[in-house]
Amino acid sequence: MSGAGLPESASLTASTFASFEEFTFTYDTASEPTLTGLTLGLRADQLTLISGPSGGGKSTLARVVAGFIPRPLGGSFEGTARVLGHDVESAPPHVLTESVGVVFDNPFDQLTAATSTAFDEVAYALENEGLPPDEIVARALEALESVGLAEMTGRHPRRLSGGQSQRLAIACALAQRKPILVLDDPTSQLDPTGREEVVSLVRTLRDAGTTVVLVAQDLGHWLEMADRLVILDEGRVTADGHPATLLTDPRLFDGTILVPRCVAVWADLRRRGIALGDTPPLTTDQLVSSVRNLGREREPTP
Amino acid sequence: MSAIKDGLRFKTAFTTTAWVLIPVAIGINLIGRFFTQTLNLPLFLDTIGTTMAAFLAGPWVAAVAGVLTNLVIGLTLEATSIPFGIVNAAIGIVAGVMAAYGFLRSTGKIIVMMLCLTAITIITAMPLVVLVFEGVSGSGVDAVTGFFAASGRNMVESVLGQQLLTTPGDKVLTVLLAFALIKGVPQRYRPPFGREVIPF
Amino acid sequence: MASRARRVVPQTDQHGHTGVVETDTATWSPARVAELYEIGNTWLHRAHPLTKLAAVLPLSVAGFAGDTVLVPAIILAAAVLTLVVSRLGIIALKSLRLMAPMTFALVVIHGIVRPYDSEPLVAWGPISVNAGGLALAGTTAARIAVFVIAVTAAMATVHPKIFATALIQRGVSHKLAYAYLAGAELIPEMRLRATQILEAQQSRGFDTKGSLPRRLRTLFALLKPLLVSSLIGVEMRTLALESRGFSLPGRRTAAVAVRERGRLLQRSLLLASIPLLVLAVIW
Ligand SMILES: Nc1ncnc2c1ncn2[C@@H]1O[C@H](COP(=O)(O)OP(=O)(O)O)[C@@H](O)[C@H]1O
Ligand SMILES: [Mg+2]
Repeated sequence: MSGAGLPESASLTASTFASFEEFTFTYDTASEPTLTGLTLGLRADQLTLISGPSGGGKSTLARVVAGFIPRPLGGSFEGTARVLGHDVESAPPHVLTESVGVVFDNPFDQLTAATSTAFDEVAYALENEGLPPDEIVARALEALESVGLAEMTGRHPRRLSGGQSQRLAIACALAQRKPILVLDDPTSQLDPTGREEVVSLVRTLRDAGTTVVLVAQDLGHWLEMADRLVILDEGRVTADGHPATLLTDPRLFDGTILVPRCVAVWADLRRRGIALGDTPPLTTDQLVSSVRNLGREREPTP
Repeated sequence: MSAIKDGLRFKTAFTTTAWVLIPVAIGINLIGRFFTQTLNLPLFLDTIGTTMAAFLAGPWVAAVAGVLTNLVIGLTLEATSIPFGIVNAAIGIVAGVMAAYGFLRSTGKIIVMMLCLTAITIITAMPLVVLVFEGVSGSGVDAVTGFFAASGRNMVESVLGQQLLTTPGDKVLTVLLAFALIKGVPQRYRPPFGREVIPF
Repeated sequence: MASRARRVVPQTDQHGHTGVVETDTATWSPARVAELYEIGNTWLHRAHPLTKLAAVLPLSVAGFAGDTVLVPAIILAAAVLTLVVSRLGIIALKSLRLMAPMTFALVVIHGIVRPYDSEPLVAWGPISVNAGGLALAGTTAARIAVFVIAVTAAMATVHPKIFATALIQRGVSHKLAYAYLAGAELIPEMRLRATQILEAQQSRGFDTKGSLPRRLRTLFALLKPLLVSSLIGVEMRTLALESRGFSLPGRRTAAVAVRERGRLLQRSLLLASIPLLVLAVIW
């Protein structure tokens, strides 16, 4: 991992599952490219956090990884993008959508809208895969249980809360046994309870070694579990590295990304000459403990 | 203009987007129907969704949306609406074909389209109403039919009179509302067929 | 019966009930499952969905036999009786309630409003009831009612999902089945939206002022954001479906398969419609 602010090399290592080389993408209905000369490699077994201002191209990047670009979402591109060893232009149909699970920001628009229970919603994908009934039932119940919806199998999907609905979307991907999970701002439309539910589920998945690409405008709850932070602005990578290293860069505090309060406090104190360590605290707990340490250092030692 | 060709061809019209659009069209048809029923209006407004689907995804997708609307209503609500799926589908086909041939590009052409939709509605609905339902529909327009019948006209004339009175308004409103809805949707969210037939 | 909730145990039993019903009564409303569906375990529920649907055709055709109300009335009475005996009287009730506005219109137009040369049956002042017109109204209503009760009985005793599964197993496109199910899901939702908006409008007194066009305009203004956002949502749902294997090639399975049976019966029912049709035409 290179220093703060420098894009990581896109060289295809054994554990890189997606790589972009000078990738420029323009939607059919857009006049300007949404991604511009993007060079980036995404590693497996990591949680990569992608952030940046609204309209910066985060969702578009997520859609490339998920296998939706250039088809069915139309557009033209230059350069290359490879996901799981396939060039996105020539990848056989369905290989990417069958390997990469996606969760979008809107909890309800991503439901099939054709099922009347959470169970049926999860079973839907497995039915499309042609799995035998026993396996569908077993996998669907297991997935619902693993996202904490065991009690909700019979609930109408539209009657779930936002957080439950997002967990249902995650359950669909888990039931399909997809090795990679792309989450596009999964908490941006949730209330605090729902957000907490989704955050802790993602933490569990990450701890279990799932490859996660997580788009989030508000870095708040995610920093502490992210292995890597990539900032996209106007379709370009403007910063890339470990969150703790990256967030020492004062350029990131110009308002383009929403940094959590603990980081903002750390940066503010630093500007005023109070150093709370070389790297910012990624959680409030870390901030509190470094403030305590600071207090102890100042106390006259007997 | 390949998106228009794709929308006109049965084999290429049914993209995943088209399949997702169909239930939305059904929902819009339903809501128009519920409003006119609840307010007891002498209108139907139950093909706004079909017309919108015709403008966004072409005649075949709209025809399926039309048939399914009446099937869904018929199989889960009121069986009597099933035969009228033919009318709904015919409206979708005419609206979709005319949209593909540029009938949404000028006010004059849109008026021609409204007239054609009125004609196809009457042509397909008349035989059903007269032969199967003896002139009634169980809705607000029956009052108009009754009015003509009271003046001594036979059922064919009474139903035709009723249709000539109520259908044009219904179709004018339907096309205007479908058009207004689509105009509210940014270009990037419209399916390719819709982007080409309403390029603004 | 509809308000009794059942436990959700995905099961492959002959009733075809799957993980498709709510667990807790508190949050369950039958309307959310399906407008028409009556949960139960009668012989009609256990029959193959397509057998019930196939029976609609010969029954409806038979209703057209003869020029009088006799045949459709007999079929109708038999159907009502069968339903009541099977503890499905609610279905008969729903069908007849559905027929009410149409029957009323038929009776008024043919029995009262239309002028006849013949002597009126009864006459109160300006209103006179004509026997011939009344007979026509009755025959027509009975014929339509036969069709309505047959469809309602067939569809109220099968969960829409099971119905769709049965169709897919017989080779109907799963995409068509998807659109049907998604459309069926929308009925209670759209009705709810319509009433909510009308209530909101009435409570603000919109209904009293203004002409019809103006009322329609305010209605549309209230509805437009909802409809536009559902159109915008199409893109995301498309991607979500792609991710769930919507366009994968190959055969579909179902968490709860419908046991294949009654093919011969279904074919016979459909074929029986032909001689019945001939009979109905020549009689
Ligand atoms: N389907 C699309 N068609 C045309 N333009 C699009 C489409 N999706 C996104 N864009 C445009 O691309 C830019 C980046 O969008 P997006 O990837 O959604 O950014 P972010 O997720 O970072 O907010 C925006 O200007 C947006 O308007
Ligand atoms: Mg986004």
